Amino acid sequence: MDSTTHIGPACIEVKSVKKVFKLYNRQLDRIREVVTFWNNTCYHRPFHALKNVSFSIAKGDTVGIIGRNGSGKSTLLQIICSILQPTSGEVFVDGRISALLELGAGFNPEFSGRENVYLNGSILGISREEMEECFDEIAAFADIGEFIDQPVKSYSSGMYVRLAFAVAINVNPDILIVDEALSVGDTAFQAKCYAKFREFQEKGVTVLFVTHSMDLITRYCNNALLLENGVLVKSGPAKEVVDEYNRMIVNCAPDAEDAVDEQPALNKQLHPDENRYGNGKAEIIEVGIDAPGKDSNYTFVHGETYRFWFKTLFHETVENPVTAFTIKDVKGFDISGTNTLYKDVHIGEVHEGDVLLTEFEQRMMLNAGGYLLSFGCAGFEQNEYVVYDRRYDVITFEVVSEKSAVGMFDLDSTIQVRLVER
Amino acid sequence: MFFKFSSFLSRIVSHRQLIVSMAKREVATQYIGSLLGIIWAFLNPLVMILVFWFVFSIGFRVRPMQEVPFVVWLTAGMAPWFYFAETVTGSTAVVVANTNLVKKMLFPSEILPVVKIVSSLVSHLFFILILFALMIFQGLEFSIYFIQGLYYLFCLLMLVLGLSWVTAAINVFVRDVNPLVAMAVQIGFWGTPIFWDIRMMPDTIQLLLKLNPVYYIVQGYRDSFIYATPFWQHPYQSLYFWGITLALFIGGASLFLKLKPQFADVL
Repeated sequence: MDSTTHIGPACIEVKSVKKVFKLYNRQLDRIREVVTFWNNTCYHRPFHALKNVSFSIAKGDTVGIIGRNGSGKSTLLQIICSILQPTSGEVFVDGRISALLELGAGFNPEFSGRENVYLNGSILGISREEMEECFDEIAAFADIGEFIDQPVKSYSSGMYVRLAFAVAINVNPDILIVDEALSVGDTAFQAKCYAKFREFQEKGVTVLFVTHSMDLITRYCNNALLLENGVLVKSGPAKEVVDEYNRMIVNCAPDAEDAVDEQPALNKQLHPDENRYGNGKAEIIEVGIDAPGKDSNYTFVHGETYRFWFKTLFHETVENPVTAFTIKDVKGFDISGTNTLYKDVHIGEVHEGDVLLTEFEQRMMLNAGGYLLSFGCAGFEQNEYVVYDRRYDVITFEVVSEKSAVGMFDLDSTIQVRLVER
Repeated sequence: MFFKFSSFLSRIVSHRQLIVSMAKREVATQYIGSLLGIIWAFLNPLVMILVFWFVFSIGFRVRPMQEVPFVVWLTAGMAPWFYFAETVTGSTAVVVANTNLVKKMLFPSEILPVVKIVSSLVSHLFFILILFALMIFQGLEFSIYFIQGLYYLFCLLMLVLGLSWVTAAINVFVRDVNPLVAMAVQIGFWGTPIFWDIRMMPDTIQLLLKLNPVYYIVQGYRDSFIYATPFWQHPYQSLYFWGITLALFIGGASLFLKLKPQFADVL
């Protein structure tokens, strides 16, 4: 399971760690369990948050932790920080940890940013004199201007995370641990933070972070850990782990298994919350994404060519149906899409019982991020537009990109820069 | 076990900078945003003393205690009690109140009661200043035994610290401890000879009342500031007090140490 290759010495070592939370229905049950020593009545339900997790992280590694909600990621981080004690197993940590587990956890809202920086420092065991030395750096990194002397309660959540992160990274940690908090910051600040990660990699600082953005993992991490239901499913080079994550999501989605067996579905997920409607004259029975001439590649890479396809079974004979796809971002904003009508593709008459395969082939010009794919089949009856079957958000997919870009779409710009006369 | 215990105590010493800065903040938080600010720390005990003095001296016509004005005698007893009450009730809830620090940061939670104890010293200081002002006003003389007040303050700190670790740790698991402590403090105020003289009681009851460790301190404050009596004049009581206090201190620290790893699970 552990395919991580280490160059340097291990800096975090987790050995068969288990964590069981005792869940009580009532507060009274907790006391009853402590008090009743004469029999072994069990008043709690055990919840296994981590099951026998073992791995080691080398000094200077940047490691991403991925997994679905409730898979044990945060519990694992808390155990590494020794905030939580493992039920069994051992954790060895070599070096000073600076952790950002929750937004402004150590902040007192009544006091100014400046005072909170010093307080945070002293919680981390740094003297006021040392803090004074790095204060300017912290203020510059947070870049919140005059707000540094305002009470923290007046901050926006973006300012909060800026300051908290600025403190966490400027106190010269050996290990930096970040739990999803960064997603609150704006893009420019996030970019600044990830640039800092790069700097840390060069300096040999170990970085451990949780994110749901597969793109960040492939871009910044050399290794990754994949947790599912408290089990460490895979650890190793980031790209392999991300592939495994996507494969896992596909396998767990309802009725997607057949599609996977027949042809590799690319980095897709059948969305459980799809929105479906239509008059039932036709039925979209199968959907998928793949890349021509490639198999078992599960990474959806920016700039490569992909095929969106779906099969429609017709229950009635119809004249000239229209088939279509749309891509939306996670906020529901339409980004792109087309249909056979716009592209002047005439399908003609389709008979009852026919299965129609529509394939859309295009280069993936979307930038890194998560997207939703919809398919539809419609037609015209007495000059009225009628929907036969429309499956909104039927597939979610994730695009990863090697290069950074702004916005959702890549215009594939070529750039020329030269000095010219005024 | 001994090693764990001593590292527990040394962690508190090594975090003194954090304790002081958190205590400063705690004091500032209490008075921040109010118009009178720190004057409240002075006004609160003053009004309390005035009310009690009015009720007992003027209302019930209590006579001076052995030639000492009642109001001075009362204040000397109220000062340690109010410190005791404030710190014990305050630090019982302190771990729960700082869930954020305990759960989301690597935070030495054993210092939280210490922070409360240090920050409450400010209002205690104001109480003592009022006592001094009253003594000057009543024409009483200062004596060398005032220094003994520091010994009794130390006794008070140790007693409160041990007790706070116990209540703060248990309160994380059973929240009922908080109202229970508040109730006990209410009863304790009437049950401790603060505004009444212990000699009013029959001998057997007196003996029972002396089992209360806070009585040793209340009596000690009066001995130091009014009667000029050294603590070695009560050898048995001193031994009894330190027996109880050390047991509480060691027991409290061990209990806190034992329960601390589970705080983050329960909160």
